[in-house]
Amino acid sequence: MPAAKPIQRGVVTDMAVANKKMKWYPGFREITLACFFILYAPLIIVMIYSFNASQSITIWGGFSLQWYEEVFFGIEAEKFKKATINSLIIAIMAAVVSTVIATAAALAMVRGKAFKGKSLTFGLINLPLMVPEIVTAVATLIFFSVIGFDRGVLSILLAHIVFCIPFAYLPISARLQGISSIYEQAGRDLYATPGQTFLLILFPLMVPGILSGFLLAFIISLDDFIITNFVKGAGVETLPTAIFGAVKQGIKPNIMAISTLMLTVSIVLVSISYLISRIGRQN
Amino acid sequence: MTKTALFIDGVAKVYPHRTNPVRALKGVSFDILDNEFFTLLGPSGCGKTTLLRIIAGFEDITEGHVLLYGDDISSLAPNQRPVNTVFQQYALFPHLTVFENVAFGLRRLNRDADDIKQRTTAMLELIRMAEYGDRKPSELSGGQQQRVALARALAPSPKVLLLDEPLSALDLKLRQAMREELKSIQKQTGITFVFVTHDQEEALAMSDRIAVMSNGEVQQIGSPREIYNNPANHFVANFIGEANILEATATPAAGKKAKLTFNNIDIGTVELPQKLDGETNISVMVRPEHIHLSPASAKTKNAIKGRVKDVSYLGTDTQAHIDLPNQKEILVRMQNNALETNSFDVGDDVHVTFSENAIRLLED
Ligand SMILES: Nc1ncnc2c1ncn2[C@@H]1O[C@H](COP(=O)(O)OP(=O)(O)OP(=O)(O)O)[C@@H](O)[C@H]1O
Ligand SMILES: [Mg+2]
Repeated sequence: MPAAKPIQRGVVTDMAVANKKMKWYPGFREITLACFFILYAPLIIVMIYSFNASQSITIWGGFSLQWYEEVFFGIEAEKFKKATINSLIIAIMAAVVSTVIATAAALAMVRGKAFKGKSLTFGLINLPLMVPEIVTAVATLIFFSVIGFDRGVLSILLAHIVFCIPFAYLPISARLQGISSIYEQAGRDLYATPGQTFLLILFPLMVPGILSGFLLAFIISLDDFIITNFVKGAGVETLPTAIFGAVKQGIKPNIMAISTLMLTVSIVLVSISYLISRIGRQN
Repeated sequence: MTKTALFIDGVAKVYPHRTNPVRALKGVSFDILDNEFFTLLGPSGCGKTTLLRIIAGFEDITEGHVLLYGDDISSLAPNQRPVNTVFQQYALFPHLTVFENVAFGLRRLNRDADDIKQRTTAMLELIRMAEYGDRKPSELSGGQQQRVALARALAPSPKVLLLDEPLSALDLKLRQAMREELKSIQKQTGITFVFVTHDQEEALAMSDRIAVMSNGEVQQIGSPREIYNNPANHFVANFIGEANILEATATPAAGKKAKLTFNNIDIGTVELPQKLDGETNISVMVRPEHIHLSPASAKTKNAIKGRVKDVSYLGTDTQAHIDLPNQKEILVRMQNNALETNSFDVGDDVHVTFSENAIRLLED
């Protein structure tokens, strides 16, 4: 800021300055920084120590990639590889199925005619977001045992599909609400049947929402621990449960390497999802 | 005799609602002729869009029928009607190129590839946008999007083209240019246009015939000249242009004729629909531009005396409100000429005159 105020300053500029001051609460910056620190410091420490040359998880012994090497080629490599494959299969399938269901639900909720219990349905679709995960986990476990369902990859998949639906639903329905129905009317006006109108007009316009819904569901499934841990059968592991199992025997830096890899995958996917929805909005 | 393209047969529309359903159309009937530039004109909320959407098939009819060249199309889905729409918000498909937008209807009609290419190119040439085929709608100006929307709706050669206030989003200059263009495209293609607007100037300039609507009813149908010169009622007189409505006293004269006096001044003799029994009050209309002002000093026969209330200079015209003795006021519009003879000042005493040919009778 210039020290001396020019004499001929307009009212407008003065008001702008006053406005700026009003938005500037004391301590705002410090609190923000503290929040970011608490949120991200552990992650950053894990990332740094995954490149540690020493066995210790607290003392820095120089840069090395040995823990990454151990993840891919060490004694536990086979176990982690199997768990990763399980996780990926489950995440992909759960994301595909839940995205299809969420798309159908969004079409019915946003484009469908008003029906009795519409807001109730909306609540039911999004309920899993509000129910504590541990409750869902216990309930799902009890449900599977009561109906005598074998616990394994399939039980995990079914549970994941269910809780992924609301996560896929939110971006898809948000996108759909943003698409004016005038495009569908224009399509019908230009001799497209209802089916063609969906395939040629509505669906392409929905794609950004569907993709970000898919990616969100994929990530949610990929890193779920609580529900998976309850409904997985003995001997079946996903990456999060395998990591948890390994940590129980003591934290070794290779866990940090795996965590860093997972974190990277998540960040990449979330960024893609964000970029897609931003491009979609611009169109 | 010209064929009827569209016959609107007693169409009524009620938008259902729990507490107060809206009667948007109250049983309107009229026909639109083959090759005609037909305009639906009326104030906001009078049901123009509703009628257009009923013709396109987007709204179902509560009562009545729509006939297209004699066929009842009331129950057909929008994609089964050989009618296309130019939407007010254009509604160009954002994910398709300009070319694909224009070709969309032709592709759905399963025309062969050569035909589609040729017809689409011809349409882009018609709107002078042949080089823009590869662009996305978001890369076009408002006026260009407008023209693409027109080309897209014209490409499948619909039997009737519906246009819902297509020019309202454009700025004044562009709007005037597009008026000419729309009109000439209509003449070139020979397609029947049904055009919706609430802009009376636009309607007068473009239409072969105009249907003036208000409150879900058609008030008058006629050529721009008929509607302006012989408005059927108060609503039409006031909505199209400006009008002075005067309460005159009619006294019977020879035959169906009646002598009119206003403020005890003889203003002329007119022919009434039927013979008068005795003296009655009737309302007559005089357009502001048909009224003549002269200084009070001038010797004028049968002049109504008044005083200038306000004067506005409008460039080509000067407009003035004149206070009349019986608390009424009258609007006068004079074309400005090189001699500046229209220089009246507020407070001046003036004489107001008009020819008896300028008097129009209004039914109530
Ligand atoms: N979908 C709807 N549901 C309920 N009422 C409606 C609906 N669409 C229109 N209306 C009502 O019907 C009446 C006529 O509407 P319409 O859109 O046909 O008017 P308009 O003449 O096109 O007006 P504008 O010049 O403002 O576009 C209005 O009172 C409007 O509020
Ligand atoms: Mg309208």
